[in-house]
Amino acid sequence: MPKWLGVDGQTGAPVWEKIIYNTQGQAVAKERTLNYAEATNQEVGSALPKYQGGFNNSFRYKNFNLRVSTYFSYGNKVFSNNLRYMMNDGHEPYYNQIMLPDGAKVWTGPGDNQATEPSPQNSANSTETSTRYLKDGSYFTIRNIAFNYTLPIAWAKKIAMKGVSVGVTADNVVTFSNFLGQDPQTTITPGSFAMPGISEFKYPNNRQYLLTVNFNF
Amino acid sequence: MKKKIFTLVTLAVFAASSCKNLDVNPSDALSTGTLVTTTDGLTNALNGAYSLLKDHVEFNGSVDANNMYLRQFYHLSDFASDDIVCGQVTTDPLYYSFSLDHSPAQGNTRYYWYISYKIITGVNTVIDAVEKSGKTDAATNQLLGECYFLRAFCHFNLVRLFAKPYSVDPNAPGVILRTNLTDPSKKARSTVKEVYDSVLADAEKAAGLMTQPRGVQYASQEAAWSLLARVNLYKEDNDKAIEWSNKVIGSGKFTLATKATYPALFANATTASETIFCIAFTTVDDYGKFGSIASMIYSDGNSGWGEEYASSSLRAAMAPHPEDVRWSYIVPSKVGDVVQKKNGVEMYYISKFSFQGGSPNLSSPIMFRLAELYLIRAEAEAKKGATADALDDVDEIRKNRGLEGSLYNKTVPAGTTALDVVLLEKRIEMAFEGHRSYDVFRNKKTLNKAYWGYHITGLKETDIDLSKTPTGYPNLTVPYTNPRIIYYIPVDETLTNPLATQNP
Repeated sequence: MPKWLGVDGQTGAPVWEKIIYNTQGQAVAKERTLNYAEATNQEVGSALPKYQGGFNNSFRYKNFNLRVSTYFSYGNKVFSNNLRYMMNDGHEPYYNQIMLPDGAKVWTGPGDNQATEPSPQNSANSTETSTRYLKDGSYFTIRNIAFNYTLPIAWAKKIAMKGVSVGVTADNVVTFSNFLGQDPQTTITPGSFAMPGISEFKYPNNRQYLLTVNFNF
Repeated sequence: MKKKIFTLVTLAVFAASSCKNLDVNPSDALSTGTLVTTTDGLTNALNGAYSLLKDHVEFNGSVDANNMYLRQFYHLSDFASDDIVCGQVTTDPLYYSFSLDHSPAQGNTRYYWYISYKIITGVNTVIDAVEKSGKTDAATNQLLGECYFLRAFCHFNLVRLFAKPYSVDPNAPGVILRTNLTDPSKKARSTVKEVYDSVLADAEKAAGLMTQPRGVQYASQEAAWSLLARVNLYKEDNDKAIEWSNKVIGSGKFTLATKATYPALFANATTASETIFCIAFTTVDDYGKFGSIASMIYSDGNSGWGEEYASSSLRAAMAPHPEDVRWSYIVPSKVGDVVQKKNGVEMYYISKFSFQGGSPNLSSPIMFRLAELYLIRAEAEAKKGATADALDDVDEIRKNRGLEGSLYNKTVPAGTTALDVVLLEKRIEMAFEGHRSYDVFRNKKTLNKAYWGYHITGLKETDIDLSKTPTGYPNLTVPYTNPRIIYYIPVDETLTNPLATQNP
């Protein structure tokens, strides 16, 4: 996809990268372009993570048992289709907009070289596919925490049980990520309305808590 | 050594015999070859091609309600014209037809290109199988003719959108011609002239084959003649344009809608007296707000998005004749007597694609109707200098539109030309039906969009002053020399087919 180079300080228009090729087809130079149609399609990362894995930890102390399972994925890029609509520079004036992330700044006037988001008055093609909406999809998430307490056997015997344990579990506890959006977790296999490496409108995995009581007899 | 040779020979014999057995037809499915050997199978294969004109076909991994051949067909041409004004910016690529911020990656041209060639490849498959089968009965020929017609129709619509007008440069790059199943997929663009030649040849062949009409929802001999008239007019072969128009008008199968019937013409396209060829939509094809053609240009409150309207430019052209029944397709959104505004733009809805069976989003879009043939003939006559004939044809239309008191009677009004009279009439008669932008640019004229609307990029509602004409903004006029009167070749083609050159 075309590379997004930010905002033109003088006009507030979006800027992309254009690669100049010589007659042999080799890239010889790069330049800025204000015309999306001229921007060069480039390889800008992979939807596949470089590393992924998880840790499962189990701790036991006397009758207490704690299990924590975590998962991480590192080095993949996610294209956020949500942001095309939720950060659209006024292209869809009646849609809700996100609060701009720290460091983002809408262009305010000629000479504004700190701006990162184009002027709504001069934003042709700014929401089209580009690295503007391509985000680092790395994350570390705690999938599940389970905490158990096994009652003393003597107590269990009183109610004719071999053993009783009580506990709480929590699913999808927390996700640490620099991703801008609700959830960096995407699919890498295409499916119905699911494209690899693309974050679409969907609810993130819900967090849930369970209270457990376990009887053995 | 002998043994080795023997082994080889045995192997060869073995291989040869086993290969034959590998070619087994599935017992529970039809192959292309067997499908088209029955008339039913052939009809089904062909009807599938027609349905691609109105279906939302999966493209690029998903089904998008915005992706429909006909929706794109109208948006890409009429939204670029001066008949429709944009009342709201949007991320839908339809906006680029107004703002001219085209790109090879815009979703609507990509789908249109994809689905056009899907239809073309589909009919090529049928043509190939029929011709191999050797069947030449009239029923088969009718279906074969429809295939040639669809191929011509689709190629022509592509060359209008993606290549310079024939009258501007016949040797400019056209589109990629797909007229058989054997060409390599990597193929260069033919010139505009080559595309026109192929379209004309296909349409003429189609006209000769079709003798058993299946109704106006399918192609017919008269539809092929109408296409031939239209293509020849674009090619400025005026004699041919007149000749083919005469054949359609003289066929006696169609009559102009009258002042009384015209207002109901588009809601009843499949049974209207003017319809030559339409794409039949039924209640199951009522796509509602999210995918219909009407949704962007009409709303009864919540039935559609209703973001584009009849432009003040078109309304000014019609203003001298409030009695003109063609006003019936321009429906102002009023509260009391006040026309409502959206973001400062007056809301004059367009209802040419509504009210089939009373539904606000349903119609059977007309691809060819008799009035166009009169106007094709009139334009060709005007260009040949036959002013009186041209004005007679224009008057024939006006008589049936409530303007019997304002006929030209063979006299060109002072300060104008016969051609201008014809083009003005065509603008009003064929408004919103995918003609206007082509008519302007192929006649080497400049499109004048000096009216308030969001084709002016960066416009703010507070800038709009309806009592004045906007000046000093970019895009207010589009001369036929502007490279953006046509679209870029979609990125899917140029990435997979390096021989396809991009438009400037």
